[in-house]
Amino acid sequence: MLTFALKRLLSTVPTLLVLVTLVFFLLRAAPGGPFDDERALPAEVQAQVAAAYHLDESPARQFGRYLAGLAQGNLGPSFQYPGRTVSELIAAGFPVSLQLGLCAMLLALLAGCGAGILAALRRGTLADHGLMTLAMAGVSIPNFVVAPLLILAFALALGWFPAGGWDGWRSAVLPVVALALPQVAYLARLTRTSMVEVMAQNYIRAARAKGLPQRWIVVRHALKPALMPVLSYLGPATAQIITGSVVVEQIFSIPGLGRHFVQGALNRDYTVVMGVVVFYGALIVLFNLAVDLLYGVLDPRVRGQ
Amino acid sequence: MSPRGLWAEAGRRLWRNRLAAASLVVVGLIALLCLAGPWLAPHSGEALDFDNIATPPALASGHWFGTDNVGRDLFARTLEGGRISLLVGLLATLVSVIIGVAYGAIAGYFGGRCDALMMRAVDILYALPFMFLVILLMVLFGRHFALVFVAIGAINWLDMARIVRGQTLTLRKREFVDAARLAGLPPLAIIRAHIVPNLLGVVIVCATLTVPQVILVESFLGFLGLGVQEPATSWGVLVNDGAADMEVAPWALLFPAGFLAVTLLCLNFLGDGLRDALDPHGR
Repeated sequence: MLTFALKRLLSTVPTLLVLVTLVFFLLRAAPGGPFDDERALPAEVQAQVAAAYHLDESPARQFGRYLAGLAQGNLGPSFQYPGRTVSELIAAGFPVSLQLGLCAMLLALLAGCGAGILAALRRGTLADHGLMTLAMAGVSIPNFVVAPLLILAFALALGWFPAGGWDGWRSAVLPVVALALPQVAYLARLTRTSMVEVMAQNYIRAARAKGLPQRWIVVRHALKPALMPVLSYLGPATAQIITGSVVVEQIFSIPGLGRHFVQGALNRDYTVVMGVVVFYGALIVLFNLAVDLLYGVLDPRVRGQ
Repeated sequence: MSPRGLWAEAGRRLWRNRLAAASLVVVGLIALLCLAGPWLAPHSGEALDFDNIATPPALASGHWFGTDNVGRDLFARTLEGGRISLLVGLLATLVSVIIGVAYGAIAGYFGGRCDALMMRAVDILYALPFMFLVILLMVLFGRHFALVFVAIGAINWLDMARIVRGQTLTLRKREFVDAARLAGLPPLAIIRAHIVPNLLGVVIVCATLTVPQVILVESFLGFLGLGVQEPATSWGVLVNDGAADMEVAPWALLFPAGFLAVTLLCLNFLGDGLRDALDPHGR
């Protein structure tokens, strides 16, 4: 187990390195700088600004400086919000995004797996077909379409929930649902497929032949193997939820990290964009690692490979 | 009994799958509608109609889907957005097919260390937050139309490469490949003449499922304001515009959102149907 864990841990290093390098050099290769304003600054001011942000050094030295800062958790100053560092922006925005994302993930797991198990156990019935058609619709329709429609229906027409902002649980309902919906649908499909597969296994037939009640068979024997694919989907699901939260935060004007990212992208705030990409990238890579390790703990066959 | 070819058989199976067949028809109709847009729509999508600003859909005025907040005809704009969205979908998929097939076939055919190295690179790229990288590319290199699909396609080829490589691994052990090798054909010629044609089935399925993904990415970018720029438009841009003033003009949101959702749904159903039709043993 320890070698397995170490091997997994080591395999994340090149991914992170590629991520940081790619992001850094893409930013340097971009035409136009962060201070290219309509109003041209005097040459000496420009030089001062460039020197203050080390933009006058060679790319290699800048990269070294960036890596060194990264190692200390320092992502540099924001180019657009003077006096604030990227780390501060992340520290301010991330807790909100984290709450939003965790709630959405929880909802997706409960509703998605529930619907998938239900459909699998009632395979071929109207309920199964209905749920799976709904799930296909959910997979296909992106959150930035779902979110405005939810606002239109539940905030503007019915007035049940606020249309935006972030205070109190009522304001969280619509964004969480909008963020979770595609994942609910995907998990429902995934769970149904694997549950159907598991229920056709011989050991389930044996359990049935023993006369065990259906509920017991499902809970004690079928659930764990059927949910293993769900576990391995958690990594991609995190990535999806993080990406989705960028638009959902934008639509519901939630002061999370995703909004900083979009604002940074539109303002060409280099360090903020880079910082968020690196931060989220690292988060996704680490989460994938955690899922892999958990999988190894639960399924000993994986460790041997 | 007359012998039926692989493709005729697959076509028959696809047609019998009612959901997939209906999806094919619907997608075809939407595509035709979008293409015929300039001749069908009574108004141009760029003309500002100052007498009809944010008016609801009406047959009499010729604004069948209503107008937006500057008086542009939404029917024309929805179809125009559809042309861009579908075009980006097809072109970016083409880019991803070309890269994915070449990469996967080479890795699978040569095998060994070359394969291990190439697939390790794919694994690394897989773990990257790809949507963020596309956004980054759009931020950095401007928002040219061509760049949208090159960027999306260039990042979206990973699935294709994996699937193609897996299929190639089994193909290269087949007798006809041995025969070609013994006949002295160089490796790249074997890949071109014997491997790639046999990949057609999996590639078609994968490509069909890539199109909605790509349209989704493009709409996502358009929604954030990073995709195609005004006056050009796409469904994502229209959804964004519509969402901005949905209180006064909900139709500006509902029509493009509906077109986008239906197209994506049908393409996914079609992809699933194609997989069942072309690969009856799988799943």
